[in-house]
Amino acid sequence: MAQLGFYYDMTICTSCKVCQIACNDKNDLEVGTLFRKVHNFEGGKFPKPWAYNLSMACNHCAEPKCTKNCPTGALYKREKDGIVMFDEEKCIGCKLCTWSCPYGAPKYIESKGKSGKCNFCVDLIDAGEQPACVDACQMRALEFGDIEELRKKYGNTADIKGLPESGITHPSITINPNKEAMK
Amino acid sequence: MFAEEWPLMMFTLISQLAIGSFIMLVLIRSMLAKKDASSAQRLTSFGFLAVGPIMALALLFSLFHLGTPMGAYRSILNLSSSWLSREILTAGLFFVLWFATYKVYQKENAGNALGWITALVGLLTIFSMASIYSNSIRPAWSNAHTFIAFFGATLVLGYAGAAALIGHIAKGQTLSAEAMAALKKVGYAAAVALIIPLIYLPVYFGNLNSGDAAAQASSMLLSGSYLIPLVLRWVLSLIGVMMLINVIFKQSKGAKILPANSILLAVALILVGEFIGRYVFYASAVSIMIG
Repeated sequence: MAQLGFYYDMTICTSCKVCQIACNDKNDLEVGTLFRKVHNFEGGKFPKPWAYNLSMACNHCAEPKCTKNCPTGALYKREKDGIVMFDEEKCIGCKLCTWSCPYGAPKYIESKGKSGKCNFCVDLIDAGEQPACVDACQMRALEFGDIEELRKKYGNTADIKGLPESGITHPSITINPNKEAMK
Repeated sequence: MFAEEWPLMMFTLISQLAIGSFIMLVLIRSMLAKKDASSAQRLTSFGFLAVGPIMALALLFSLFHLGTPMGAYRSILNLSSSWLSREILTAGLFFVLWFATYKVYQKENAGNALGWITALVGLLTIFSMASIYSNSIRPAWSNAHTFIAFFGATLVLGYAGAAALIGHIAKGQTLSAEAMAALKKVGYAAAVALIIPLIYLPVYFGNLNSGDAAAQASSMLLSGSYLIPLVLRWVLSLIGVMMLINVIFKQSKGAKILPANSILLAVALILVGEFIGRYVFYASAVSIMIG
């Protein structure tokens, strides 16, 4: 099974948040629900302050806890490309996915009484296009593709400061981190 | 926290009360079966009846947790890997087996096998329940503590439930020496079930303190904002269980009558203690996930 994943280049990301907005628009999300979110970290003190950004959506993990724990099978991995899919029809709103994901990817949507999450813009991918966030990024800080190829090209860094250990779910993401973000 | 998780607090507490009471009643019935079969049936029959509605109430509360309660039946579709599916299946099975046991136990000479099978399914429900929490990304839950706390609560609540139910049916009656001895024995079991989680508490704190940032945050909550509730929980539970054991111990030497008021007071203390304990359990769990 191939596995799709993301590459994120922290060193050029300006935290403009257009990925977040493109995602909201594509998924028609209400205010306050974010399937992709740009996190900002800062620290240090004068004269050496530092800051870095981290754009995170679902990492379509190799061993996701959400699909394992979901009681209905509404969350499942798509066989052909490893996308963690979400079947809204099946979801009963038990919120266990939000207790399971170390990256906070599944969101509970109160008005629907169900969860929701990034599905890699599967309709666009199937039509040969790019996910909305990747398409929108003006800095080209986000890429998507076969995670093995992305790792070959950019290295394999999924453990940075501020993120939970990658050993928990083996996320399909590799990051080019700022030096302050390196573990 | 309370606004969000109250249905789960009520579901876990009440289902543990139902399953624990059932286990204690089966224990008492089995102990009395040979020596005093008529008391065995007379003292436990009301309790066996009450367990079903209590369990039904617990399952009803669990529906309030769901965003889409009408889909509740779909919660058993992922038995191969989801502990939540397994919890709901075993809880449902316990309810069905409870009904069968209740029917069969209306006969005085019915054997105890069915009761023990039902009790085992009840224990599997508690195991599945604890496994849901221990498979989460909250270090305060993904810990042996969850199992110790849930099984402990089941037996302590069960002791309180069984004492209240038997006390209700035996009001003013003089019990046999065998019946009092059986009540004493389940009291000791409950005392052990209360003490083990208390002894484990320092180990739990040690694990949290040596864990990641979220684990340490939980430890700080438990020893900070939630310290008073945590102490209150243990004081109430200890007083409640000791009081109940003491009442039964005294009566087994004396009049062999269960004094309704003392029993209800002790049971109330135990229930409040477990309630506060469960509140702290939910409130102190910090997630490892980012923002």
